[in-house]
Amino acid sequence: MADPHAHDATLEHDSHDHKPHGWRRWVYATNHKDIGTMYLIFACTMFFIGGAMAMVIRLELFKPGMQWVDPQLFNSMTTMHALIMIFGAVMPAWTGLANWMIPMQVGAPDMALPRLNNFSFWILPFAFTLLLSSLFVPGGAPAGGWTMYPPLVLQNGASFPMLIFAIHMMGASSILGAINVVVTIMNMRAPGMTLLRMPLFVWTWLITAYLLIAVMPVLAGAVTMLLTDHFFGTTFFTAAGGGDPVMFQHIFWFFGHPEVYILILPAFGIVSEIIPTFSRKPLFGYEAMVYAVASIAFLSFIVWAHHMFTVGMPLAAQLFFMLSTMLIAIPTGVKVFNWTATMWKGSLSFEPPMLFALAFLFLFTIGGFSGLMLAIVPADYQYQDTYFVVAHFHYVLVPGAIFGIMAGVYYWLPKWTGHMYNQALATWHFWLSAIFVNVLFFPQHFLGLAGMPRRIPDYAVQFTDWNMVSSIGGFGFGLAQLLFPYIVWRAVRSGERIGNSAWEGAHGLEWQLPSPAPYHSWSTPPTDAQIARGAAH
Amino acid sequence: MGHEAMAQPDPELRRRVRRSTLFWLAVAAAFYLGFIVLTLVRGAK
Repeated sequence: MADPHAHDATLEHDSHDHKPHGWRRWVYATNHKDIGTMYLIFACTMFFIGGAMAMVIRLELFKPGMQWVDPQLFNSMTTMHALIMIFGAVMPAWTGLANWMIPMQVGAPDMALPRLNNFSFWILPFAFTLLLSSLFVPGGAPAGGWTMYPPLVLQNGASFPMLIFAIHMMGASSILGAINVVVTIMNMRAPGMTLLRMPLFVWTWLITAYLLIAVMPVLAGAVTMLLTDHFFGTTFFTAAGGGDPVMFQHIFWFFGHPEVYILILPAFGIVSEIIPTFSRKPLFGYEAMVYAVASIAFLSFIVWAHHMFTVGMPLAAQLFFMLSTMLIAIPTGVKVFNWTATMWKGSLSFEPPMLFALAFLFLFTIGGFSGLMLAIVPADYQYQDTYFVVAHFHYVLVPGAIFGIMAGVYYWLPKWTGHMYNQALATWHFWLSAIFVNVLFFPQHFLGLAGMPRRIPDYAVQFTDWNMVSSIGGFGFGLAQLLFPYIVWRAVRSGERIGNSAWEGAHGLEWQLPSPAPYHSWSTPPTDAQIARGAAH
Repeated sequence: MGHEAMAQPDPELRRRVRRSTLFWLAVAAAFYLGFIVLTLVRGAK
């Protein structure tokens, strides 16, 4: 096998060879790192746009009565906030991280399908420009909720076809990106990189990609049927024509529940990389973790109707979906206990990636517990469409998915840039985020249990106090996020230079490459010894 | 495997990559059409 130093020399050569410059580097990008960077910048931009919409929502809900926006715009804000955060921020951020890390972690020079990779990315700016421009058409932006239930969604004005076309484009981008990930992992692994030697981030992304390929076309099919119902006289979901609006809900949630796992599984992978690094111990139960993720993915296909218990369904169906939902707690518990066991008697240190990973562990588990409460059918009849549901899924998605992304960026940023970021500032970012996220979302449990409905711009006065607390938490959380692009920018411009490995306990293949990583990651496959060292789990 | 090797990858690898890409595209298309057909069949009952 090649000497690693000789290999580095080859990489140095490659990094100065045939590399496009200027705008062509980005528009015609086929390099996995450039495309990964574009995905991450895009996701960050969408995070702030979606976040600004959340600020509008929390501003309006600060006090009872109508203050700042009319109800139509408020409904548009809730709908657009969800669409932008899910499809524009979290999913592209994961794809960006996948682009950056998968080739480096499996010992490949690049993704298997670089041109498709470019196409997948460049669909997104057009999709979101279309979606955002719907704010300015007659009738305003989509306002029927991100779930797009008919017949309400069919009452949208000119924004309706824009929404449908934007969803189709986002779906196409996700499917093509997922195919690229599967094909890369299945075909481009270095010799010796067996499936059970792969890092957990690669495993979780492989399973996520399968989920994407299975469910994004289902969403596309559902919105196509909405489109033909609206414009071509079909009655898929129109009761007057023999259709069934509840059928849409079933199809939507057949997509929607696996979508939740699409948003969270890569975070499981990142946390499974970070906790061993900062515990200076191998991951406890590597194979169990892989099987747990696969089990969660499988179960995600058979729980969809727990989102719609109150729509009316046979008792047997309610029992099936309740119990299948509760089953998810088993593999999830395996993961939580394995992360805890990894830390047990470890030599822990608390750098920013570890702080975000630990907050993920605590706060995602809270979101998981409220999910179990919602799975109980008779209890769900009380919780349905209240702020309790809002609190639940935000605990899963903000300290879950968003903290997972932050943890990943703070973990690998030194590898990408060759510079260490200001860790003191990143620690501030963590503590402000961790405190304010709880101030923002924990009171929403109380509001929901007290009966405050979701998706309303005004509320009864007895809900005022906790809404004020929640809004203060929202403004604090929003402001704290401004630190993030500043920290990244400072690191890129003037951070302290680092060697191959930024963290004492990090052993993965990516840490055996120079920092910043060369243009073509592994143009010579890693040696078996390098793979064995990286796969020390 | 240097830069030249990456410009002209192994033909067997190219075949495998093309085959698995087409396979997964077909799976995605099947899910898309399958759910529309499923809804049609259910609506026809």
